Amino acid sequence: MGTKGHMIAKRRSGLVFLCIALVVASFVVAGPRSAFLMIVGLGFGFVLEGLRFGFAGPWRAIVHDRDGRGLCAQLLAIALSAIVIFPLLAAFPNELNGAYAPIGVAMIGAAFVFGLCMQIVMGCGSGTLVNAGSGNAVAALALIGFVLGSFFGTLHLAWWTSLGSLPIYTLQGLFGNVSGLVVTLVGLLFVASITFWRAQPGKRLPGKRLVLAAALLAGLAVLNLVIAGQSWGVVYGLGLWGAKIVTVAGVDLASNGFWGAPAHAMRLQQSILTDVTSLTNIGLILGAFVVMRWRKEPGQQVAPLVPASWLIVALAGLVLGYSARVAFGCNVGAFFSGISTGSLHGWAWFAAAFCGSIIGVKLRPTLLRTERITGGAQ
Amino acid sequence: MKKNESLLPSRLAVGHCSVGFLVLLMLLDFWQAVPINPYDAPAPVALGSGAAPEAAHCTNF
Repeated sequence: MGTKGHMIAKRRSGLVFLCIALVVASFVVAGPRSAFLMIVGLGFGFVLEGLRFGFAGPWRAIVHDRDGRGLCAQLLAIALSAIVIFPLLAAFPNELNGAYAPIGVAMIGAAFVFGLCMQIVMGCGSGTLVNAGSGNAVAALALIGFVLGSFFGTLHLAWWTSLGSLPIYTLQGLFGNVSGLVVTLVGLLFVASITFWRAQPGKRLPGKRLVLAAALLAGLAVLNLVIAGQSWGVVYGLGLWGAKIVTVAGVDLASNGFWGAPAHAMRLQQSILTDVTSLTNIGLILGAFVVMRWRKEPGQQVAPLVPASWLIVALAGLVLGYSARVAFGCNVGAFFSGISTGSLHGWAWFAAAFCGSIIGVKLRPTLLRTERITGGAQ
Repeated sequence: MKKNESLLPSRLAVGHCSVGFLVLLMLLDFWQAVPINPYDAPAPVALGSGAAPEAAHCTNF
């Protein structure tokens, strides 16, 4: 083994040690559940970054390049999760919670805006975390906006929701447990069929890498539910981080409608190492970082943008967080977990966000301009 | 040297900044939050624990 090979081996040993240390520290400080969730979060990061499984990219690919492989892989992951999760939720209704939320005017509008913005920063909820962890400068800036935006969204959530919402509908509630699962799978198959029809030949079905990623992601999502008692989510944790930052800055949130509510006040008071979504978010970022460092070369940085485009990225990140909060989740909490647990709002979120994404794909070349080619798109 | 390499921090540097952000957040949390009571930790796994889920999710309002 040459000097370079020895260096790589040494670095990788250090990364393994870092992961083990992180899990052990979570166990010692916050108990076994926190340690298990940290492992799940790291797993999400390994799969998403290591197997290059994303959400925003495949949505762009089907619209822009007529490449449906990534979107079909997403649908497969959701279907595999649903097949396990529906029976679990039916069997253990007192211990496990689905990602249920109401469909509303603001929720649909916010999902549309989220879809648009995620194409501007080229990252959704999980994508922004993964990309930031793997060293993408655009995502790192967007993450700061996402954290603040998620927090600001909590401040106005009650007002947005009051604009008009339906009761919470689930497919289990509408059709029963078995039929609800069948309707979910038929719905996913229907979307997959449209994707298949829209995609170019040779870009219709996911290859082995994406199928493996979908299966692993589904397995991790089930583990998240079994360990935490709730579905995989991202946005709540980011909003909580924002709330903690402003609390340390001296802002009193006790009188706020959201953070003053007992359940959220308790979360704000307690450590993020006891908060489910914070734990998996931390694991996700670190998992992506570990994958980036594991590679022989970390890869090239994104092309530099003109200053105005950096400002747009920061604003888009802020709006991404705000809209995700108002829409009751991002691609993870609403789309992936919503649909895989039977929430009707997950389907409404998907439709609205996809429409927004189409606009975002068209706007991105105009809004994000590189420094090298000032007249062209990135 | 390519232009973008000279203008932007490398992936390595940005990745380390992201990890630094997490470390800073945890330090801030350590200072702000009430100390964790290890004797009050929930069951290792929610399934089979008999306890209702208390965790917060983005669908909560």
